[in-house]
Amino acid sequence: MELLGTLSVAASAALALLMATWIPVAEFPVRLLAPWVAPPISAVGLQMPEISFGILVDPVSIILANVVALVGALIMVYSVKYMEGEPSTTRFWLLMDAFVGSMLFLVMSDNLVQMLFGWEGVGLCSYALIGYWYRDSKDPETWLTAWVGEGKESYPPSHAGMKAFLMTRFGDVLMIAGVILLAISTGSFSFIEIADRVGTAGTSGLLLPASVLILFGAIGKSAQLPLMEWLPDAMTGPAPVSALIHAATMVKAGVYLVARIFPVFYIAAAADPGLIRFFEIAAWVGAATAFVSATQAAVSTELKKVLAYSTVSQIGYMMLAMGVAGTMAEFYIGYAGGIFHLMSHAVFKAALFLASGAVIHAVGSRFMRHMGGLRREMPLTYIGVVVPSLSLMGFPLLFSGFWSKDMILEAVLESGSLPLLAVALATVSITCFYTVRMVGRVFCGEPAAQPDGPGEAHRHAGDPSPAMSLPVLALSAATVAMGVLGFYEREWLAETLGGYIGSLVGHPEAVHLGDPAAQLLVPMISFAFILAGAIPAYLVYIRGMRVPESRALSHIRSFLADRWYLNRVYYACIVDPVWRVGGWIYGSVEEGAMKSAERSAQQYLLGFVGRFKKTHTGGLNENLIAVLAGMILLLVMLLLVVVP
Amino acid sequence: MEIQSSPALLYLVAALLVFSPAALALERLGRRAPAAFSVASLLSACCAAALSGVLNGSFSLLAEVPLLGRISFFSDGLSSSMLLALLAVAGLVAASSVRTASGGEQRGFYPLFLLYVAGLAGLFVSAHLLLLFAFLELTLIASWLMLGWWGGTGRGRASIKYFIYTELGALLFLAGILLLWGSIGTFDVLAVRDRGALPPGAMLAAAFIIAGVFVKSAVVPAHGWLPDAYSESPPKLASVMSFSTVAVGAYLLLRVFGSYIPGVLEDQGVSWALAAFGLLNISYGGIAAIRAKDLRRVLSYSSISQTGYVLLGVASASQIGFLGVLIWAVAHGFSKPALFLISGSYRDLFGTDSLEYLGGLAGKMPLTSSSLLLSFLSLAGIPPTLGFWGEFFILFGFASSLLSAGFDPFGLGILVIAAVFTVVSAAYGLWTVRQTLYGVPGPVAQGARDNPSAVLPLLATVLVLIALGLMPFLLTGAFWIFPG
Repeated sequence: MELLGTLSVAASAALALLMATWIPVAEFPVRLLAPWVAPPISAVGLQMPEISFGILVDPVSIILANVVALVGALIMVYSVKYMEGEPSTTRFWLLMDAFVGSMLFLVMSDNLVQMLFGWEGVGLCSYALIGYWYRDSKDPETWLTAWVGEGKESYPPSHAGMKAFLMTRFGDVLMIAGVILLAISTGSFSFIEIADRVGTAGTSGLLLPASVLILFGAIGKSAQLPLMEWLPDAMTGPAPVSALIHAATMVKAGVYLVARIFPVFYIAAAADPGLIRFFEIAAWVGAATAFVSATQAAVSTELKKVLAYSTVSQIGYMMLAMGVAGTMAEFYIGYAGGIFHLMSHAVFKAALFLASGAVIHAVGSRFMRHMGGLRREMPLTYIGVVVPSLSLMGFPLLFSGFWSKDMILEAVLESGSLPLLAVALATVSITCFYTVRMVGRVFCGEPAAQPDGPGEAHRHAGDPSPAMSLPVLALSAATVAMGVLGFYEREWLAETLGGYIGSLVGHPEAVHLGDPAAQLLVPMISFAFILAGAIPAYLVYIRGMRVPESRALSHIRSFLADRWYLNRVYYACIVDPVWRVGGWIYGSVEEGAMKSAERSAQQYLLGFVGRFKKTHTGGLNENLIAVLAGMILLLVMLLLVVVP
Repeated sequence: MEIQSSPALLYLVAALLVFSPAALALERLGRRAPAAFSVASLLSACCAAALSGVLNGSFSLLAEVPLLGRISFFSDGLSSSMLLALLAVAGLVAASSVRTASGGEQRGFYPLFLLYVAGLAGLFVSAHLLLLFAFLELTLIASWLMLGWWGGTGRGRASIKYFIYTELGALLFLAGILLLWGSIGTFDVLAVRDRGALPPGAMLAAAFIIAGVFVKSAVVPAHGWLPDAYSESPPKLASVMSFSTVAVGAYLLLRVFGSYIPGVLEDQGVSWALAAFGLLNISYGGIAAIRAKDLRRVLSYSSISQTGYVLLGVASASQIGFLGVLIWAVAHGFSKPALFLISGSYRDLFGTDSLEYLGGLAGKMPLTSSSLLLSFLSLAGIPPTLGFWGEFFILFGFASSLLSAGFDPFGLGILVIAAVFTVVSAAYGLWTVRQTLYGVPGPVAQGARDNPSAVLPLLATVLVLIALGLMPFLLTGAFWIFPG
């Protein structure tokens, strides 16, 4: 199973690489189409466009396919050792392969309906893999590794899986409604055809609601505000699942969707400036999410949850990039920045998650308070965390995160929206704060002995086997390589994507890579913000400086640790009412009122019939009289009918 | 679409009606003979009908009667798909080796089962509304007898309730078609009339028909019979009954308002009423299903919820919405029977299907559990199952009828609400899955394992759902509603 599972993903990685060689030479977009569904002709109302089954090959889908398949292959290699000894690994490999397949299907889809198949396919695999340890056992050992959260917000794997599926499903059904509206107003489901027609479709008024509804699909899948609460709890899955699905690929599907429909609304916005609002909403959703979840990462007590919040926050950057790109004539800096950050985040966050899996396995607990001082015991893993962490912080020059994040900041700067820039820069600081805090608490200081800890028996700190270390180190090396080549990469991406999207939206002019002054200014400002976040964290969590407790600080901490109360509000306002109303309907209405109404109807009917019973005496005389009366009645009726 | 005269339909219905006494005669041969005969006859009838391809657009004359007019069978894209789905589902259900404690395999069960199926098949192909009503009554009597004779402990009450409710529904339906006959002058669906003005009294008749269908397919507030009837039925009956409740309701609405008097749905009031009842049903049934105590009741309330989508699709008054209704009925018709068979096998194995006692079955019965999950996903309209297409077409039809005039905040709001309600289906499905399959196996679940003969039909239904989900053109390509 391991071999089959890994080799099939490796094969798809090889094919994806082959496809990557087409980027410089081929004429895009390449579409392979076959007829799929021909809806019936309706006599009234609008017609439904035909749905074809097709593959869309263009630079965007090729880049995404490469990210999915290459990162996926490394994660599969890691999984072989990681999942060794687990019961029912066949299920794991089946779902992981199904996931990679669905994700590739999603990114290669030519139209929105077909994309929905991949979209829900990855959602299903995510659901099943989050709940992989479905037994929900509450014994301390399992609780410390397979559950998520503490106190009232502690969830078992199956709960987390269900929550993830239902929250994303909420976004998905809104997206389905949006797809329908888009098809109604443009007469097609295909990305390319919609982009062709949207300019002439005019302002039907349905485009803005359609775009916002589709954005909800992206928001759900990519765990953006207000549907971000599922992702932190999705950390109950095994580490490779978190790395592949909840960091590198599936949660990027939302960004990919926005990138995919970007030309459509960009063209539409040129015709009707009202549609700029779509991009503004996307930008603000991204910026707000980036900030909110970064603050939550800064107080999280669990290693994987820090990374999860961080993922949400980084995807927020990508959304922000896509959003500001749509508001500018020089969209390609933001667009390419978003895709670039997507690539570099996939690599470094996958490395971080894989390494965190090794750490959690070694320590026997997901809480950072049970870690500490692992630098000496797990040197390779330490490297495998520090290098991607520097990339996550956006540390200058050598790390891919620097180039991609700065490209986004540059786009925000050039869009001229200062509030967005302020939020984005503040997030840079917080990102550095939580990253240094995480590294410090896990790897520096002294090993912690806690009363609620896993106990020495479960602690076998030490680097994992090479089959697990190598993928982590390979991903770390990749993030450095991407960083070293960062400058060229950025140019290449801007030119390729700018040229391609430009040809779609009808701006095929040359790409010029922004203002040199901005290109210099942004790294300097962002470096200042990096230091502003990293130095306090270094002092507190690595040098062990004491911070005086203050009421304000503890209030802020508990507010953030309570996830800005969003999760609680959702449970209190949606889950609980539905639960109560369900109980009321089932208990009081169905089993109570309906049943007693039935009983009283029965009683009434029996009483009514009982009275009639008295007329049935069985006496011959009465019966004959009744027969006569009936015959007379019939005669009268006949006469009434016939006579006129 | 052309309708061609061919005796195929007559032969098919006649054969199905003959199967029933044949099964009775075969009971002498042994306990398993009627079951084997039912499976073989139903599946071969299904294959023969599907492969010969004569069903779609075929017509066979039975008689010309002075007052009643031309009595005939006919089938268009709607009835042929329904018929094939019915035969396949019934065959697979009969193939399941699940036996209830009260003995679903007792003498007389299979003959009645086949009679029930024959009644449904006749209903789907009747071109004459009185004939259709006769078949409706036949199904009612057959299912009532099966429920009363081989049901669970509460079968007495449940069967009387079932009979009274559904007979009332059937009579309302009869009153509706008689009223229509009074104003139109024919029972023959095939007598095409101009789609122009509605005859006087048509709205009253439509109200009777809709009321009858509401009772028949358990629309809130006329749903009282359904939870009891479903939870007391023998599993095989519950399976086919769950198919028929949604499919027959959908079929009657589409046949009467799609073919017979198409003008009624163009009335805004009717559309809005149907849509409002649809939304009420989706949410009421779905939310009740979340809190239902045993699997059978979850499935019952889920059926109530599913009927809501049918009403939404019919309310759209567009061919796309109608297609969605057909697909939805077929998707529900394959997934719900699988779920009822699973609940039957739980009752068989553990003596209960109460969610409180179940749990942790995923590892014990992997194939059954996968079927359970996938069937629930189809109910929630999640790809790659067929349910997605039903939901998609229904929503598309609904959206196009709401927003054909352009942007309208109210219409948009209704569409969004309808879409969001579909999350409830996923919620009760996954919640039931979690209670049944996940967690630590309880004491009753020890020693549970997949029973191959029970699992095969389940896997077949789930495969059909996924295959049709990936190849929806098999349904959409053949779809058309008379008069085309």
